[in-house]
Amino acid sequence: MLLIVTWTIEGEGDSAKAKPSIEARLDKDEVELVRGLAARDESALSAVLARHEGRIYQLALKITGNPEDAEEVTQDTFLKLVDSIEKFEGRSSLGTWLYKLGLNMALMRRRKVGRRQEQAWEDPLLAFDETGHHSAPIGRWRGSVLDIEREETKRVVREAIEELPEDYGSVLVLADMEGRSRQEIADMMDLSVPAVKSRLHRARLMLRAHLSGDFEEGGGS
Amino acid sequence: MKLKMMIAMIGMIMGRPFGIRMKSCLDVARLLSDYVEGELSDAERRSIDLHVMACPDCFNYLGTFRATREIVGEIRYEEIPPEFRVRLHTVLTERLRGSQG
Repeated sequence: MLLIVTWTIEGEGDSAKAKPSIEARLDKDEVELVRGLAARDESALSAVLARHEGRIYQLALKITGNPEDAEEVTQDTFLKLVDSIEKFEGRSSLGTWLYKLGLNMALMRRRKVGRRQEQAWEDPLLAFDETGHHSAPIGRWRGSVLDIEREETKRVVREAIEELPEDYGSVLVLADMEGRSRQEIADMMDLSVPAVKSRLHRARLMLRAHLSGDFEEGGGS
Repeated sequence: MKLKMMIAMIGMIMGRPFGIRMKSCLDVARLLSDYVEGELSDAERRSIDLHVMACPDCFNYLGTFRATREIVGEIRYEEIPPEFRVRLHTVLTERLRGSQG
């Protein structure tokens, strides 16, 4: 199978615009991998998996909250890659393309399975009175909950993240767990950067309020 | 500045911020992400510092907000299971061979 690696000309005549090939867009290693996959080279497949399977699995696990779903999402993501490598244009790196695909598949899987009950989440910015003060006292958290190695803390936090509304939870996962920049998240989720920042802030506030129910001194587990 | 600090301390003892032009608790809550990420101007940051010093609720709110962010950043998920990795390679290799030619 032959990949087009020359400049592609869009349109004709004087208005023709040259579009750079994947060679001009990707680094040499990635071009080799893409070419190898397109040529059905098994070593190229192994190399792509070695680079990306762990990240895609972890992302899927964080979004779906379930190992079986994460496996299915990971498998579907790479099957899609194998099936459509000829269409890969290199507009982004292979890793970014796979990550975005994995994210979308994980979100679709989460919606399809509907394992988590949709909760009615109160807007945390409504928990203030008309003068702008907190409408209820805010307590401190027990020191022990800050021990992240504590199984109870891990369980409560993971469940709370999984239960966040999708629009907020996914942004929180990408920003605060995966370390993606606001711009990267905006590009992946077709949002503006201010929208990403707003969702992230609300997600953090929602999560704080939720965790307070378990973690505040004098209450919870 | 010393006077402001003294007033803030009195406000903290009284349980409510007062006496100086400070943000409301809601204003503080709206800006916490920008605050903890260092994206506010010096004036806005100082204004929040002052409020938090004087307001026990916001002091706790900020502390638990920071803790939330830190816990989320540190929580670890399981690595990809080795047996799934083997299965994945097998499935994909078969698909690769099946689509050859």
